[in-house]
Amino acid sequence: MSNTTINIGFKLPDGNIQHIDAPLGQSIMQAAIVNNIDGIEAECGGSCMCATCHLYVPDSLLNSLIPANDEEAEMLEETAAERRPSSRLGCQLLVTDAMAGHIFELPECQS
Amino acid sequence: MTSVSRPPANRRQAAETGTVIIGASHAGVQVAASLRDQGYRLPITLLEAGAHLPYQRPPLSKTYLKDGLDNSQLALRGAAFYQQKHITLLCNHRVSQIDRANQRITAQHGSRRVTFDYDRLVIATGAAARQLPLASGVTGVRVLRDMDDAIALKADFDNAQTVVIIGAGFIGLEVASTAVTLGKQVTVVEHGGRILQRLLPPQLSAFLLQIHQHNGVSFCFNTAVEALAPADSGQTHLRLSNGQTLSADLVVVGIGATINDQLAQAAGIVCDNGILVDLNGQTSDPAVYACGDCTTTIAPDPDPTEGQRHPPSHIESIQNAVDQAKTVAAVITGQPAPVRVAPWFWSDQQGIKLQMVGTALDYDDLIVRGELETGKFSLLYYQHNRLCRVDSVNSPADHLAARKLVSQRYPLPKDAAADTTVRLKSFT
Repeated sequence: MSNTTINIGFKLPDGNIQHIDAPLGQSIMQAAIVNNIDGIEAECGGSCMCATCHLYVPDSLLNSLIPANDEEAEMLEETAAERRPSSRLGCQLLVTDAMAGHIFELPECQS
Repeated sequence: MTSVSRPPANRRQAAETGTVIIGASHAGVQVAASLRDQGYRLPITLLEAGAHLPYQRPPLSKTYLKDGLDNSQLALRGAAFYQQKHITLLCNHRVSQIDRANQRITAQHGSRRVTFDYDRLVIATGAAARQLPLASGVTGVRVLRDMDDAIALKADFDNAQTVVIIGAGFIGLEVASTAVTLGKQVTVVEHGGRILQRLLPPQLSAFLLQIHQHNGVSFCFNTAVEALAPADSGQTHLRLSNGQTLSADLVVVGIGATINDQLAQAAGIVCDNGILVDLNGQTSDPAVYACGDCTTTIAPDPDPTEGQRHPPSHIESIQNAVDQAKTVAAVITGQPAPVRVAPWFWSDQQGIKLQMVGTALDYDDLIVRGELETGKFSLLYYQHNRLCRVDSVNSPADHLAARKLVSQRYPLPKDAAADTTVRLKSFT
């Protein structure tokens, strides 16, 4: 693919890592859905309504991301799996160059 | 996939025919996906009348209308998904007949007629936007339900300065919100006395109305459209029952949906305001299932908490479509069906996140959690001291917890319900 996509990885609950080419500017959730990553449910399709696209951001990225807004922060309180400082909703994170090569961890469960 | 040479139904093996799904909707795609998740190994054929790779519908009235989105941003699954899961997705295949005696589907593909044999059939044909008879054939009048509607609407929308919306339901109000955000002049004409009259209690209608009006949307209530005609200017003229006349570059009709149950009816499957299904998604034909917006569910079981029977329920929501689809897939594969939950819905209007769980409006008590003035609150509805519905405004944590509580008809203490320092999650 051209420079409009970057490679990112998802670490699944079983420990396997799947890599995808994610289009810049698209949400991580949508990139995961289109690339058939199991473990992102996205019940609401990316409307920030359901908290089923929960993922853990790698520590190396934590400081470079725009922090969660109040709405996302409130939903993160209600995720089915453990909430960690690195918890985010995939529908609210847009793919950026800075994410290239990084691995996002998926939680044990989404609902 | 054509099956003209196949032997008659009574000699066929299920292994040859598998499951045919009519409609690559949220429900139809979920049936296919869940069948494979549950180990179903027979062929799955997903027939879609439209041309588009299966897509998300909620953005059509919001981000799609505002920004335009390409297919990959709307796709329900990637194209590779269907190949990897051995799901034969056939777009541009409009089913014209269900022959239940021979367990055979006939579809029109361009000028060709194609047949498909089935062991199990799933109907997921959804609903279509209800048309306004007055507007028949008038250009500049649009509806919004599916992708083709959205593409046609978007083209007109981008160029429109004045927009009249007929119907103050979710679709109408979401389009109004998108339009006014882009600086368009918007008038909503509603024949009822308030917005979302059939769906929300008066307090919530009033709250949302105030925000729409504050942001510049005009409303005409208790008003019908009596005439609608194209003008030389290229605009559409509307004559209203209150004597007013309006001119608009674009008219959007949002007056509900008509259920796509015609195919099932023609095949003699029992329908009554939708294809009648039981809690397993089973229709009156044991080989035929249905799920999503095309169905009405008859639940013969008494409600365990109330000892009452559920009335037939027709629910138009993504969650209900997806959950029914998972249930049908479980029944077909002989797996336990997922636990039923109270239906939930959402809407984005004027920057307000409205989330609803439960549908009851025959409540006997209503607790306000938070303050309406702050724009962040939930309404908790009770029947016999048990939660039957919760509507949340900009309060997603309340909503997520309420989904569990309403599903259990939980007897939430009312002092806790009103106390925003007590998290609803602590009761789940």
